[in-house]
Amino acid sequence: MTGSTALALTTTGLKKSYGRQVALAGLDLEVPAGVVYGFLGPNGAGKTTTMRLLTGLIRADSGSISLLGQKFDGSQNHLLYDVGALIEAPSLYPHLSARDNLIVFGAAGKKVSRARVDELLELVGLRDRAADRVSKYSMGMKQRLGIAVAMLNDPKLLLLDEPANGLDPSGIVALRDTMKALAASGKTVFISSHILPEVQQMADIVGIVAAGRLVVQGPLDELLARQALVRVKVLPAETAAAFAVLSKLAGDGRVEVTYPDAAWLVARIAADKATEVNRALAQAGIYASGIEAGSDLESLFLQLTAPPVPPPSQSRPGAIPGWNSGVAS
Amino acid sequence: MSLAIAGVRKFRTRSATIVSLIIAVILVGLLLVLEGVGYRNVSADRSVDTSSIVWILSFPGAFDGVLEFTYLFLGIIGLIYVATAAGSEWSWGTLKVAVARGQSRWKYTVATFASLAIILLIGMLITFGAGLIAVVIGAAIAGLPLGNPFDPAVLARILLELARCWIALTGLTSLGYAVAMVAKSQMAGIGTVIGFFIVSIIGPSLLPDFVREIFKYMPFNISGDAIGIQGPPGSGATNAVDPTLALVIIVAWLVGCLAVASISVQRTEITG
Repeated sequence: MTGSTALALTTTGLKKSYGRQVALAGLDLEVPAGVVYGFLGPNGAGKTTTMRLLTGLIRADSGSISLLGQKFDGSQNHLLYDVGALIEAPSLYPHLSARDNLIVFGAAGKKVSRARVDELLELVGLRDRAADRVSKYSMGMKQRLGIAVAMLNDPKLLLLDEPANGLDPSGIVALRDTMKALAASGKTVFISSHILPEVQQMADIVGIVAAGRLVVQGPLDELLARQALVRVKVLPAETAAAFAVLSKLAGDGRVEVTYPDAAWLVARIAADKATEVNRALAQAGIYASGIEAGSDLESLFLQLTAPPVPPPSQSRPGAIPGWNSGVAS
Repeated sequence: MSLAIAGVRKFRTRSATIVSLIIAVILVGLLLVLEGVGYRNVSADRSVDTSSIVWILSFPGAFDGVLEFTYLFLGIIGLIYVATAAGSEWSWGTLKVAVARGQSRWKYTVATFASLAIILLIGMLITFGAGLIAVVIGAAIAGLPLGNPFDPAVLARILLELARCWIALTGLTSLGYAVAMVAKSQMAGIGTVIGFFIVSIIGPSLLPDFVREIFKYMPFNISGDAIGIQGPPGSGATNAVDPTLALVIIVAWLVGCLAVASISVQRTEITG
């Protein structure tokens, strides 16, 4: 990827099957150090299997893993001393308090001081409830504690599987800030998530996986630039004429009528050409009642992982591709 | 070591720990108090042999009686408890967290059992102590003299028997631990252990002599012999296997069960 950049995590040709079911079909990842890496994919794409392999919970059928520059096949426990992980739901002792959970887990692997436990309770906002039993916690509080457990050993590489699950808005903001701060301090954060807008706000680099293979990987900005869109709303009677104008600008096959009743058209065209689109429509005597420009991870995700979108004539009323007008490129 | 101490921290406040202990204490205590009640009811009838009750409600015999009850009830309750504790490491996903933190799997398996063995030791001492209190109550109800509980020679012997009882309990419960760890399930551990217990008790009466010989060395049978409890004088109760040999065999069971559990955890894929 970036030849001279140190890599915190790499996988090469990673394969894993459960019986006849192929979970990973040759996964190649390159995660540079000091970034937040968004690891995305639909259900069953192999994300959790990847996490399990990276933490030595399961063993690969073939392929290799390198953690923090050292080869890892699951047997080198000490390499995980610098790795923290939250895999699937937070796994905790329900009868213990948050503090006792951290103390107990802190005795496994790399030993952790009591000061670090207190520091993490403060960081995840559980200091005031640190003595309460975890069984009394809400899902969001358990998630916070799970993240604290992952961060116990001050890891250089943090692997988080759906970390925003169950968090309230303030928790999500705090998570985002913490992850960014960790990356800024040189640590690497590898986040698997379905909450794409969250990843979009957090990640520097994303890798999208589908059917056990990497579909695309690269800096988020570059990937989003490929996914630029201009969306235009015109009168229903003017849809055909607007379609012709947009096709001329964007090229054949790059314009979709997404909602015929309301006459929204989507042109896959650089977002900074929105003014040009508006001008061309006006010159054709079509006055748009709405125009939006942007690009978003969700569209990219759907484009790369979902089946092809049917042509305009077969569009299903109400089927709107992913769009987040709040995110401008 | 710190892992085992952390293990004690995680087990000591668990409701299964407290409930198991309460059940053991109540059963042992109740049985001894009932001995006192029973004696009071039948003591006037000269045709009833009350020597075993007198033995158990007065020292030094009371020490052996209480220890036997402690072993009996804690053995069964402890097996279920240990299988539950081991299974929950899988069902709660806490083993997964420890492994993902770089903890050696086999060390974690052994250390977790060491924590449970410490919990068993504490539970055994509490149950034994509660049993002694119940003896005092039972003797008072029965109107029997307590005898001398402070004979140094007897106390030294009882301390040794307590140590053997603890080893026997850890050896016995390691079976439930191994089954639960291999099966990755509390219920599998508990179910197998109960099934094994029933077979161990019923099996010998249904099977040919040479198979019956083998049953003598199974955990449920051999662990009792390992304690070397002295029964009431003239009761004719003898151990099927020499206590020292039984102790060696129960330790072998312990090591074997821990080895099976450790190898299984070491090799298995953690997907839950």
